[in-house]
Parts: sequence; C-alpha cells; structure tokens
Amino acid sequence: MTTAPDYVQPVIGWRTWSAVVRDNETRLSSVIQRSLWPRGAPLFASCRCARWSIWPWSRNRHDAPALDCGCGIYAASLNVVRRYLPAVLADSVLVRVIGRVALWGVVYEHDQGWRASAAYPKSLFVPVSDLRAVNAERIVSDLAAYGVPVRAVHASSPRAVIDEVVAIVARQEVVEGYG
Amino acid sequence: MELGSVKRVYTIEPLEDPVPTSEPRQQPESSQEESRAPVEQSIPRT
Repeated sequence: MTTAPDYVQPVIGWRTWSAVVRDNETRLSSVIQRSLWPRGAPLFASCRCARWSIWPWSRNRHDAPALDCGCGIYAASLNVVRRYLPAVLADSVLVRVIGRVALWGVVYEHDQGWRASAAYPKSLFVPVSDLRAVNAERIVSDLAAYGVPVRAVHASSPRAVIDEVVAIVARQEVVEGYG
Repeated sequence: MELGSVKRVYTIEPLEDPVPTSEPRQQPESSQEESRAPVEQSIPRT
C-alpha cells in the first residue's frame, strides 16, 4: 500500500555551499558534510552517524532525515542564513555559494528551517569580491551546469551580499511574474 | 546551522521535477556515495 504525499510542491529554502573542484570543474559541496551535489540529479540524504560512531550499539542505520538524529539536507529561511553568513564568509578561506534550494521527499520542518531527504539547487549566488576575475568567471560558468540561474554578487560585506541577493531575487520574481 | 525544534513532518512528491530538464539526467547520487569519491579540491578565495 502506498501513502499519498502531503504536498506536491517542494519547499524552497536558503543555504550555503562550498565551491570545490572535481574533475577540473567547479561543483557544489555541502559545507559541513562535504557531500558533492550532483548536476542534473537530486542529492539524496543518507545518515553518516552510523559510520562515525565507534560504539557498535549506536551504529543503527536509518533513513535520513530522522527525528532523533541531525541528518538530512538542511535549508533555512533567508533571515537565518543572513545571521550565519558573516561567520560563514569570515571563517573560511574557501569560496562560498549562497542559494535557494528545493527540498522534497520526507521533510522535517523546524522552527527555523527544514531537513529533507532530497534536494536540488534552484538558484545560485557567488560572492566574487574576494576572487580574481578569471576565477569568478570560471566558477559562475561551471556552476551553470546545474541548469539553474547563477549570478555573481559583487558586494563585499556579508550584509551587503545578502542585500544584493535579495534585490536580484526580487527582480527575478518581478520578471517571472510578468513573464 | 541550528534549526530549532521539529514542528512537523510531511512528505512531498513534486508534480513537476525540481531538477531542470535541460541537463541530461544523471544517476542519482547519495551523499554517502559521494563521501567515497576521492578527487575533490577546495577552491581558496584568492
């Protein structure tokens, strides 16, 4: 017997990624778990807690996300990402990418965001103020292979980066709304 | 990222594929499978 889904539209949240190079092309990687996000196919969550644990009794495998575990693919509201962004940008020497992400499958809704079993990027924004022009162009160009809009963000401070992203999204929604 | 308490759980089966169709569809990859992939290089902000 199959169970009918509760909804038929994905949740759209915000998150950050790291830009990494694999096979000589820039790809998206999760910041904490370093999961590489495939192009043209969803990322499906799996729990790594079982593999990390040295205690045999805590190596019970389960589907991700789960209620009593922190596993799953994370996203949050833009306001939450705005709070984290200064630390994310300041504490890393790596290129970070901000963006909207579609979440579906099993979804845990939290006070400030979501954990889901499946996800794919919806739009990507690359802060390029610290990058050489040639690197910025290449990263933006490579990430276009995800098949979603990719924009360079030229603002330098985290607050200004978010403001620029919000302005771009607002313009896109106006265009899509009238398109 | 701290998300706070769980409010509710639901399932979503999108009517339209959230993955753009312009890109050739690859075999799904799980994050666990990705962890075995060795060749990956971070990009420093220089």
